[in-house]
Parts: sequence; C-alpha cells; structure tokens
Amino acid sequence: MSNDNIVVQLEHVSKVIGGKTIINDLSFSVERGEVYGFLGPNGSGKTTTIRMMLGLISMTKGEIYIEGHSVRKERSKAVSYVGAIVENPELYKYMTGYKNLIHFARMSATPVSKERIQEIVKLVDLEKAIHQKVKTYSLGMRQRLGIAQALLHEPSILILDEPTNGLDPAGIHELRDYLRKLASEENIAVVVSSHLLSEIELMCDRVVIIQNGQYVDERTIKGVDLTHQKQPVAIEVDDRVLAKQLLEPYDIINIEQNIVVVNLEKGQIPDVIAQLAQHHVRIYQVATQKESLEDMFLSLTKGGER
Amino acid sequence: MFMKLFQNEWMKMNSKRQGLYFNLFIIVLMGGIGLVIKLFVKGASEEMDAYTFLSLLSQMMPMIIMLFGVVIGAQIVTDEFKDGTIKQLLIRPASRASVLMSKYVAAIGMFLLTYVVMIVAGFAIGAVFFGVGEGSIIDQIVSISYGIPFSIFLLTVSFAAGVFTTSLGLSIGIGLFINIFSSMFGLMAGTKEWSKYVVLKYTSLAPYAKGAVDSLGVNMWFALTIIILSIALFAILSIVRFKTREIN
Repeated sequence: MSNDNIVVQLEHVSKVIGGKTIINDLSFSVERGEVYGFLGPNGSGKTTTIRMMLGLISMTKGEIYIEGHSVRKERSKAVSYVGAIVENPELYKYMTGYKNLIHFARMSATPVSKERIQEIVKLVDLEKAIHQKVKTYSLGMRQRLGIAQALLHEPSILILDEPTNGLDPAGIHELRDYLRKLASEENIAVVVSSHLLSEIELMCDRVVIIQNGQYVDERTIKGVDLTHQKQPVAIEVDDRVLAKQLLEPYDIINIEQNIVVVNLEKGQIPDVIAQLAQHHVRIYQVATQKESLEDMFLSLTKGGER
Repeated sequence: MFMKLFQNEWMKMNSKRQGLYFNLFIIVLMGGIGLVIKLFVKGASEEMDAYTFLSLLSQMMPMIIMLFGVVIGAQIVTDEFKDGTIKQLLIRPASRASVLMSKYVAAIGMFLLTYVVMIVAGFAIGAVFFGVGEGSIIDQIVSISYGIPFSIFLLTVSFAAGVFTTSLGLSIGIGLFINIFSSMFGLMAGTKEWSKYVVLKYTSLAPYAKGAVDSLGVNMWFALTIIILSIALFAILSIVRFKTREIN
C-alpha cells in the first residue's frame, strides 16, 4: 500500500463455493476521485466480489484492503470508510425516509450530526418526501435515499452494485451526473458494477472487465492520452511489396491484398505516410482500427452465453 | 455502539406497530373477560376484586404473551433477511455479534414490556369492574411471573431458529413445537431422575414457590439455573451461526 491514492485494493482474491470457483485470482485497485466500472456479463461474479469487499461473505484466498485495512482482519475498520448499495437500495419501507437515515446514522463509526442529515437530504433532493414512509416512494426516490444513506458518514469510497437497475432514462442520467460530481468534487472513489457496457462507458474513468470470475482486461475510458498508445493502422496502397519494404522498421501485423496493417503510435502516422509518398507509393486510404470496448465486450458476452 | 443498535431495533419494532397492536389486543381481551364476568357470572363477580381478577388472568394471559414472545423473537431476525436489509446492518462497522445481541435484547425488552402492560392494565380493569379490594400486589406479580423464564427460553429458541433458518414461519413453528413438546415431556418423563437437567421440565416455576422442593430435590434456584444455562446455550449457538453466515 505504498500509493496513498489507492482506496481499494484487491490482491489475488478467490472464492470457491462447494468446489466451484466463483472468483479466480482477481486483482485490481481503485483510486481516489475516479469512477471505476466493474463490468461483466450476468453471473460473472460481480456481486460476489462486491459482497467480499464489504465482508458479507468470506474470501477463500487473497486479501482486500480498504484504506489500507484488511477486510479479512479488520473488517470493522475497513468498512467504516465505505458507503454502499448492494443490489437494490434495501430500506425499511415501514419507516419514513428520515427515520431510515437516523437508523443508519446511528450505525456510523463517526458521529453524524443532524445538520449533516439535512444536508444530505437536500443533496439528493428529497426534502419534500423525507417525512413520508418509504413504501410511498417511487423507485427513483428510493434509489436517491439509498445514495443518501450510503453517503451519510462521508465515506471515501462508494460501492454501487447495478445502480441503474429499474431507473428510467432520466433517473440514470441524473445518477450518472451525480456520481461524476461526487468523484471529481468530493474526491470519492466510486465503484459501479454493471452488465451494461453503454452505462459504464458514459459513467466511468476506468473499467475492469471480468468473466467467469476471472480478470479479462482493464481499460481507461476517459481522459486517455492516445499519443503514445499503439493502434493498428490499415493503409491501402498500390504496391504492397514496396510498402512492405519501406515499413520494415515498424511493427507490421498483417498484409492482405493491397492493405497493410501496421501497429503505430499516433505521432508515427504522418511520418509513415510521408515516407510512402516520397517513394511514390500511392495511398488510397488510411484507417485506424480501434478495437472498441464494445466489440470486445460483445464477443465476451456471447462467449458467456454459449 | 450497542446502545445505538438497541435504539434502532426499538425504533423499528415500534414503527411496525406490532407491539402497540398486541398490547391493545391484550387490553381489549382482558376488558372483555372482565365484562363477561361482571355481566354474566353473578356469583363470582360479587366475590371478585382487582387481585382475584389478576390471579384469574394469570391462568391464561402468560400463555398468550409467550406466543407473542415467540413471534417477535423469530420476526426480529427473519424480517431483515426477508427485506434484504440484513445487508445494510452488516456492511457497517458494528460487529455481527453486537448487531444480533441488540436484536435479542430488544425482543426480550418488548416481551417484558407486554408483561408489564398486562399486569398494570389487568389490575386497572379489575379495579374498575370489581373494586380494588384487599391483597398483596407483590404476591400477584410474583405468581403471574412464574412463566417468564420459560417464555424467554422459548423466545430464545425461536430467535436462534430465525438465525439458522431465516424463515419466519419455520422459526415460529419450532418455538411452538418446543412448547407443546415441553408439556408432553412433563407428563412422560417428569418423574425420571435425569429429567431435572432438562429445561422442558420447567415451564413454570410455580411448583417451587416459597422454598418448595419437588420429589427430585429440585428447588427454585436449581430450576432457574437450568433455564438460564439453556437460554445461554441457544443464544451462543445463534451468535456462532450468525458470525459465519454468508449473506447472499
């Protein structure tokens, strides 16, 4: 835990239930101020992982640290930094929203003042309904009250399991803006799980993809510096033999008919084109082939359904 | 922390109104009994006063309150599982043992409160219908309370059953089964030497009142010790199970 910026760290976490491996050697970490997506098809182990992070279920192997405290050994200390909604916002429907907040405020490790409760009620825009029973609330209102209870004790990490389930498009939009604001303004680490890529893409800075309980990939979505990242570039030329010669110093992936595919950094593309042109290779088109997150995720999800 | 957890449990029980409705129910029931005696049982009504009315109530009311205790003992745990709110309790700093024990203490508190309501309201109803009369209120309270220890034992059983099964119906069923089984036990094995170590024998402490000793040499303190040990056993079992339970 050398990096002070890391709020949550999973180290080689595994979970075996009845001889079946649900989570296999999963590692990732989440930093302050980022919205971190936890993406995977249904049944890939997202909820199981989140439950382990919160100490609801035990881990078979590995360690999870929250603010440097092991969930296994110092659960109480570790979860005191966490606010969470696991699946639906589970609330006491027979009590008012306000009593629900009082209830959860009493369970905080640090005292929560009446002013803080008022503040959070205002923040989630429930001032009018807060003294009504939760059973009269709409799903969107329950979701907001869920977020209110998770934020009461000013956690440094917010964990939301499928937070947009059952929300209408307006509600999703609102939630997304709100989570981004929390991360950037309050410097909270937000972990959001979802099986919907579109949602994650719009909301998150980084995303980890898992399938069958296993790490598949981690991607940065927002604010990526593409300058030094290599991408496959397809160049259609008239003379592929000459082109191949000229492109020898670069990383050629594939030559098919008159299309040469080379792995290039963004800054190298003009140089390559200039060089080809200099040697009178006619260039018909240049296209960067970005393997989108979507392609990858779709192929993954199909794999899961088979 | 424990005090705050207890406050929470108390708030939740009161918000569900189950305590309120049950207390109203027993008050109405006792009022009904008083009214029936007053109107239709002429001979008895003339000899009765608040003390004798209370001792009449002690024949049946503790049984009803015991059932209520079994229900709240089971419900206070299983409701959280049913609504999924159990997760909300366990993703917070409080230890699982203290969360569980705050529930246990709150359930016992509600049970005892109902007993108090029954005694106070029973006496008041008796006084209104038949006059206060003369007697010792302490004696009445003591004799009406002989069933409390075993009732708390049954509450503990249904509470532990709630932790193990998370099913309300099953947990109440187990509590009630133990209750029925205990009266059978008394009839079948009550005279055997080893039966004195079995809690089922002590459904009421009335046989040991005023220093009485039964044929097996059991006195009040021995009986009470067996009940308390049995309560502790079930309470500890529930904690052990709750601590290792995977919450899905």
